[in-house]
Parts: sequence; structure tokens; C-alpha cells
Amino acid sequence: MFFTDWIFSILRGVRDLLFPPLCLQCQILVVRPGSRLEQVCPECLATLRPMSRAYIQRHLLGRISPCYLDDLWIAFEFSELIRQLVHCVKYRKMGNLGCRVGEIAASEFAEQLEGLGEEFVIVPIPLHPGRERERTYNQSERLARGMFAQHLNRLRCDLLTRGRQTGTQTRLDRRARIGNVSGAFQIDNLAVFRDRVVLLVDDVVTTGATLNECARILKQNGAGKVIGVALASPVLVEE
Amino acid sequence: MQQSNAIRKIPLLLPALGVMGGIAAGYFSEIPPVAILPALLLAGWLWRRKSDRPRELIALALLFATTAWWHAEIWEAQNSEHPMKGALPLAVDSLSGTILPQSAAGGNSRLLWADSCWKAGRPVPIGARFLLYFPENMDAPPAGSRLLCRAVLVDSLSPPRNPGAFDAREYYGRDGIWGKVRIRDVRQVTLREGAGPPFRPALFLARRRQSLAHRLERGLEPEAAAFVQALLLGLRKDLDGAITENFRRAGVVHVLAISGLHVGFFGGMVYLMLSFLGIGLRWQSVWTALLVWLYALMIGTPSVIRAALMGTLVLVGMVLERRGHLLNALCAALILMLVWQPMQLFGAGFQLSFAAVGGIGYGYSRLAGLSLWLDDLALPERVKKGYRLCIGDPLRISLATQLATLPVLWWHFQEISLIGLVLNLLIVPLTGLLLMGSFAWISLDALHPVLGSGLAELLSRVVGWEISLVGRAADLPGAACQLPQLELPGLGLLLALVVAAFNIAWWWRDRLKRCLVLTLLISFATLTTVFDGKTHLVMLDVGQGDAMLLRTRVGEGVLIDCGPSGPFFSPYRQAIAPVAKQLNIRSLRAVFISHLHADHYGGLPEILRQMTVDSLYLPEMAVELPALDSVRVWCARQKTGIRMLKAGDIVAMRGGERFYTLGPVPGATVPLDEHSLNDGSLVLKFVSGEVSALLVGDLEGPGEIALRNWAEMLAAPLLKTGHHGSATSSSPAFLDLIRPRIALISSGKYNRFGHPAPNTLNEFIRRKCQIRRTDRAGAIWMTRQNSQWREKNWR
Repeated sequence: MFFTDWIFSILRGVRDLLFPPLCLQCQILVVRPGSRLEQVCPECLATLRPMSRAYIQRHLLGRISPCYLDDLWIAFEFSELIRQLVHCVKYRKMGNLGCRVGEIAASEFAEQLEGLGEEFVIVPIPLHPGRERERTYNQSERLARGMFAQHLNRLRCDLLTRGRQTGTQTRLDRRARIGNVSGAFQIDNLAVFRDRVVLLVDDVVTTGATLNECARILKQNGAGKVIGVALASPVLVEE
Repeated sequence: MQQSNAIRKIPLLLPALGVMGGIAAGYFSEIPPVAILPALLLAGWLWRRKSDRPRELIALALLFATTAWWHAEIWEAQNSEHPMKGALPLAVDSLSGTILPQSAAGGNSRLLWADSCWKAGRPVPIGARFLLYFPENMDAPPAGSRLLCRAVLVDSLSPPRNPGAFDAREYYGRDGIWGKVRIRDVRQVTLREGAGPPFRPALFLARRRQSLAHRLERGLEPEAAAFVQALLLGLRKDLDGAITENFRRAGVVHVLAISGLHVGFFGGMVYLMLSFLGIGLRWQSVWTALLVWLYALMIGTPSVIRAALMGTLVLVGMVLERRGHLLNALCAALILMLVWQPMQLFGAGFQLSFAAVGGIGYGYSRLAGLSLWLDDLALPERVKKGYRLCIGDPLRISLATQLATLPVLWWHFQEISLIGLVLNLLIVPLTGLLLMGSFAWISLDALHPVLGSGLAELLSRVVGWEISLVGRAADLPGAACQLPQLELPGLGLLLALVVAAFNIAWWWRDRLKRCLVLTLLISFATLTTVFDGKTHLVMLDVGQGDAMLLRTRVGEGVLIDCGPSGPFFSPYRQAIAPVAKQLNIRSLRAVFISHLHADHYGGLPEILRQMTVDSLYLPEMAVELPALDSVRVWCARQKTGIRMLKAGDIVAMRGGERFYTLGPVPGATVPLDEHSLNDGSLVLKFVSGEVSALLVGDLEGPGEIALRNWAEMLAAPLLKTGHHGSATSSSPAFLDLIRPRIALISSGKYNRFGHPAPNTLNEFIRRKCQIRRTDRAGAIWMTRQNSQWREKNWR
């Protein structure tokens, strides 16, 4: 066993020589062994600020009408680091990084998860099949895998499908976003979530239009409670 | 801090430098490898405190450098110690072997793996690669054929005969090839029937390459087929030389040399197609890497292998979910390739390939300032973005590669293209389209020839556009720029200037740094442009014939005789042009033809075509020869003036140096018929300050007697011996008048006239005069130093 460990440590060394593990944010500090993320150093990771419950209630849930979401769990305030991480997961094919980031976010809503009981399903916001083939995975599903690592048997990716390609939301205002996603999703399997709690997982929430649209469809088809779960949301209003 | 940051981002930089240094040291020095250890330890100790991490890297660099040193030495030793090598040239009765798939440079030649060899009924130990030249009228057999050659001469590759000419020994020596076999007659070769060669991957790939080339020939128009063959498969044999020359002049020849651009397009297309299959990231990467390697090994040039290595690293990085630095991947590719073949480091292709990519990695972000002026303009954001995407960023890439390859181009070729910077912005996308179109056409054509016919038409059209576009650009005045020869200090300054150009924002910041840049610039300019103020005289090796290139003190070029011209020998391309480049001669002030024999004026038409000649000097003749008429026609075509010289005429150069004409003497040696041409040779005495040289053409006995009246003028320390050192010239009485200290003899190796004659040589030896022969030593380069001639060792 000592021998194989030795071989692997050499291989890891070669890997680090070819692809030095630099922090995404500060670019200088080499990420040390034992960091929670391979791509971010502990110092930078510590700069992530948890999202306050009050802000979510007032500025996110409070501004969606009609609101179909019963609750919204958001791990962090959006920052440059989050932007880079999400960019890597979405566009640079770093699927495993998505899982690791999800694990870090999971510690932020461990309490809420305790109070949820046993009866829930986890549903990541789907991608259009064409887009998913191009990316080879769904980034929300990767995040969900990390966030609910103990409940992987409750993860259902086949419940919700995206029927049409929606353009990117980033350059649209609130009204246009709602129009852009409305009617984009379909329900495939009704029986699974009847009267149960559904956790809808997305990467970054800005206005909540996408989550709300999915929640609407789920509620109309008999879901008991729909809770939105996301990695981060930008803080646009100073308290 | 900045330094250590770079080392963290590019940890392989130090090891790569270590490998390069190790190989260079192992190649150039006689110091034992162990001696590098203390020096590197010292360097490591100095580096130690800069940051916390590089210590391991320094240790690694050290290890790599030492290994590379040994590697280079072992490699050298392996390639110099073959039992046969000492016995060359060796005439053997039979030699048999297999044609290798690797391509040999130019001509009708192939690489042969020789496995058995017989001489006088006994086997000769062999097992080496040879360069095999076929006669012009024979189709070289395809790769993989077994053949038997009878009664051939195995010879070593010869060093260049003239300074600056192509060095086959060094070029092939880098690949470990040291011998050549020249086949003179088709009947010497028999193709051996057999069960066919065993399956070998390289052979398999060479066959695929051939069949793809045939497919292109069948489906496309000839011009387009030749171009796409070069573009896609690296086969340039059918491509018109003029087109390649145009691409070179226009600075876009890199699209014809398969490199990262091509491999990138190929890999990208494969990756995209595989992504539709939905086989997952890993398999997609594995298959892409596999196909890219098949393609790269099929082509097999250093730049393709480099591109494939780097592409593989990108794919591995994707699978490992690590973002690598471009320069780090480049360093990794460098180390791997040099471990494979250390001597590649000195090849121009290898250097260009790595310099170009290194320039992009190092300079692309540093040149971001080029688009800064855009921010202040009141333009819509969309226009700015479009400009950056279509012009700004490609221009940065183009500029970065041009800057980084400048030292390599200058050092090896003394020519850079000025138009290339802009032309690349058009040609690279156009070539990308062509590549994609050709890949698509090949796949369609493989399904059914009808499917690809429309695309074939389009491809031919685009190829036509690209060739005519490049042709026009190459014809623009100042498209290509000739540069003077670069010496080592000049190269160092140029490298510093290139680095300064990349970081101009930092270097231009305060007065001190500005002064530094200007000093560098000025010293570089003076180093490269100022003439050394010496007179150079080079007796060229043109085989059996005469040609001498002279550069006066102020840099004017003078050519005395033009050598013989033949189907396999062009005096201009193989002797005069390389030496003129070395001497910084762009145009000729004067061309003297000693007399109208083919071995003295054969190369004249090509020289008149290729170089600007102010005036042509011929000896006075009292007979009308057909040769004289054709010389007149050639000169009229190029508007070169002709002057006939007789004894007493003086041709003065700008720096005060003169040519005194001593012959032909009117009334005595002016030729009256064709048989007295030798004696009617132009006899010139070149006088430069206190030193002089006597150039006597093909003067023989009677001519020498006629010159006795000039006794006091004949004395010269340097003599171009008359008539290639034959027995009929250089009579003792004549030599007594000249009293030469150095005699130059221009004659061909193994010439059928037996020049130079032993008696003549004895005459010189008896007078303690040094003899320099072109048949022994190749070209002879004399420079005037103070008041005497010194020979310069140009090898």
C-alpha cells in the first residue's frame, strides 16, 4: 500500500507541475493540500458572505408576485469569486467543481434541512436537452449533488423538462425575464411529488423568475410545498 | 514578487530553461557535465529567498539541465560512432534496405533504412539511415518498398562548400543521418518482391497520407489540389515554387507549414462532432486526442508534434478540471520533444514554432494597450466589441508572433516580411475556412464523390482567391525586407529589444528606462548596419570554374567571373547568393568576366536576373563570338552597361580601391579567334591601400610572356592562380615577377583535367607560397587586415 501511495503522490506532483493549482481569485497563492476546493485558497473562500434571511424575505420573495415559492434558501452573496466559480462550472466543463461548491454551500442550510423531515424530492432546474448535450451535464444537478450529498436517492432529474430554448437571462430586466421563461417547463412525472416538499435547485438567483415559473408548474400539478435553493444571489439593495 | 508569481503560474519554465541550457552546453562545450552542478547550485542559492516555493523547481531544473547535458552528449556520441563512418566514402557491391516513410528535404530523394551491405563477397556491418538520391528521370519508389542497389558509393554528408550555404551535414545530423547514397542509373536499382513489409504504424500513416493526397488530386483542380495537399497533409511537392516564395515574402508561409493552427482546427472539429454523440467528456477527450495524434504522426514535423502535445495537455487539463497556463503547456511540450531528440533545439522550424506560441503566451496580454485608445472614443459598445473581435485581438496575436519570431527569422534567414502583420488578419481566417472546407470535403467525398462536387468547386475558388491575394501582397514594394547578418551580440541586443517591445508600457515609464531602451536601440542599429571597414575577397567554390566575390571597404560588391552553370548546379543559388548575404551585398557595383568560356560566365544570366548589376566588364576582343552576342542580349534586357577593358584601363571603386587592367595587351594578346580566349583573359590587379591581389583569369604561357612589360605592376601578395592551376600556366618566370605569398586555386573536386597540376603546385611550394584550393577546402575567404591578407575561417 505504501508503494501505491507513493506512485499516486508522484502522479499528483506531475499533475501539479503541468497544471499548477492556482487560486481562481488571487491567482498567486498556490492552493495547498487539504483545501476544501482545489481551485480556491482558504483565504479567498473565507471572503464568501452568507446571505441573510431577512434580505431574502424582503427583497427577493417580497418582490415576486404572484409568488409560488414557499421559501428560498440562498447560500452566499454574489461576488466576483462566485461569478468565476459559476463560470468555470457552466462553461469550462468543471463538473466536479460544481459538486464541491455545492458541498460548501450545503453547510449554510444544514439547519433548515434538518427541520424539513423526510418527505421531500430534489429537483434541479433542467437545461434544454441540446444544451445539456453540449455541456455534457447540468450545472444545477451538479450543485444539487453536492448540496444534498446525503439524500442523493431523492434527487430526481426526470420530473421537470425544459421544452424550448430560452435565451440568456443576464441582459434582461425583471419583466422580460418573466416573459422569457414563462411556459418553458413541462412536468413529466406527476405521481412522485404529489403533496410532498420539492426542493428546486438553481445556480444563481437574480429576480427569481425561473424558480417561480417552475414552482408555478409544480404547484399547479399538486406539489405540496416548493422551496427554492440556490448558490448565490446578488445583493442589489443596501440594508 | 512578479518573478515568483510567474514561476508559480509556469512551474515548468525553469526546468525547460534547464533542458535547453543543458543541451546547448552539451553540444557546444568540452566541459564535463558535472561542471554545471556548482554553477546551478549557486544559481539556486541566489534564487532561494525570492519566494517560498521555487526551491523544488530549482532542484528540478538542475536535475533536468544535467540530464539534458548528458543526453546531448550521449546522443552526439551515438551518432558519431558507427563502424562504417570512418571508412567513408566506401564503394560497395550491393546495399539493400527499406524506404522509410519520413520525407527527405527536396529533390528526388528518400530516406533509406539499410539493413545489409556486401563488399567483395563479405558483409559490411550496417544498420543506419541514409539519404538516397534517385536520378531525375526515375520515380522514387513509395515508402515501405524494399530495394537492392548495386555498385553504389556510400558517402558522408558533406559540409557546405560556401559560407552561408545549406548545411546538409548539420541539418540531417540533427536527425542522426550521416550518410548518403547517390544512384546514377535506373538499372542500379531493383525493387525486391516479397511478402510485403511488416505492419508498422509509421508506414500505415504514410500510406493513408498518400491515399488522401491521391483523393485530393482526383477531386480538385490541379492548383487547388496542390495547395490543399500542402495545407492539409504537408505535401509541398506539387505546389508551384513561386507560390511558396510569394507566401514567404508576404510573411504568411506559416499557413503552409502545418502547425498549431491546423491541428487546432482539426482537433476542434473532431471535438465538436464527437460532442453530438453525447459520449461524455472523458471519451470525447480521449477520442479527440487519439485522432489528433494520428494526424500529427502522419505529418510528423516538429511544429505539429508540438501542437499535438499541447492539445493533449489542454484535453488532459479539461478532464482533470484544471486550468493550465499556455506557457506551462508550451514548456512541457518543449521538454518532452527535446528529450526525444535533443538536437532539434538548433533547428529553425523548431525554434520558430516555439517562439511563435511563446510570443502569444507571453505577449498577448501585454499588448492589451493596443486597443486602449478605443475606450475614449464615443462609439457604440457593439462597434467597439466588433472591432476588438475582428481586428484588435487578431492584430495582437499577429504582432506578438511577429515580434517573438523576429530574432529567429533574422538569425536564420536574414529576411522579414513587413506586410505579414496585416495580411495575417485576412489569411488566417481564410485558411481556417479552407481547412474546414477541406476536412468536410474529404469526409463527403469518402461517402460518395457526387456529394462533394459542389464543395470542390467552392474550395478551388477560395484557393484561387488566397493565392492571388498573397501574390498581390508579395508584389507590393517593401513587402519583404532584407536584413544584414546577425552576430551573437546583435542577437542578444535584439532579444532584449523584443522583451522591451512587449513591455513597452513599463520600459517607457521614466527617463532612466527610456534612456536604456534608446541606448539598446542605437547600439543594436550601429552593430547591424555599420560596415566593418574591411575588404573581403571570397574565392567561391563553384566546382570546376571560377567565381570570386569581393566586397570593398565601403561595402560595394564586385563579382569576378560567374562560375559554370549546370542542371544540378546554380552558381547564384548555391554559392553567390549565400555569400552575398553573409557580406551584406545587395547589388553588384561591377561584374568582371575574365573571358567568354562557360566555366567563367555560365552563371551570368541568372545573376543578371536576380541581382542589380551596375556595369559589366569584358576583355577587349577582336573577334565576334556568339557568346558575346548573347551576353549583349542579357545585359540589354536588364539595362546593364557593358564596357570592354584592355591593358591600361582603370576601374575605380568608391572607397578609393582600384582595379588596374594589365591584360589583354592590345596588339599582343587581344584574342583574334576562339582558340586564344584563355590568353586574352582579363588580368586585373586589385589594389586596396598597401595590399593587392592579382587575378589572372585563365592566362596561359603566351599570355604570361606578353605581360612581362608590366613587371613592377605584377607583384602581389595574393594570386588567383591562372587556369585552375594547370601545367600550362604559372610559369616559373611569371611567378618570379609576382612573388605571391598566397595562391588561390579554383578547381573542381575530382575534375577530369587533373587540375591543379603537380608541377605547378611544386613551383608554389618551392617558393614557400601558401596554397589554398577550393577542391580541398571549399570557398576561401580572405580579408584585408591592415597591410596584409588574412584567411577567415568561416566553418
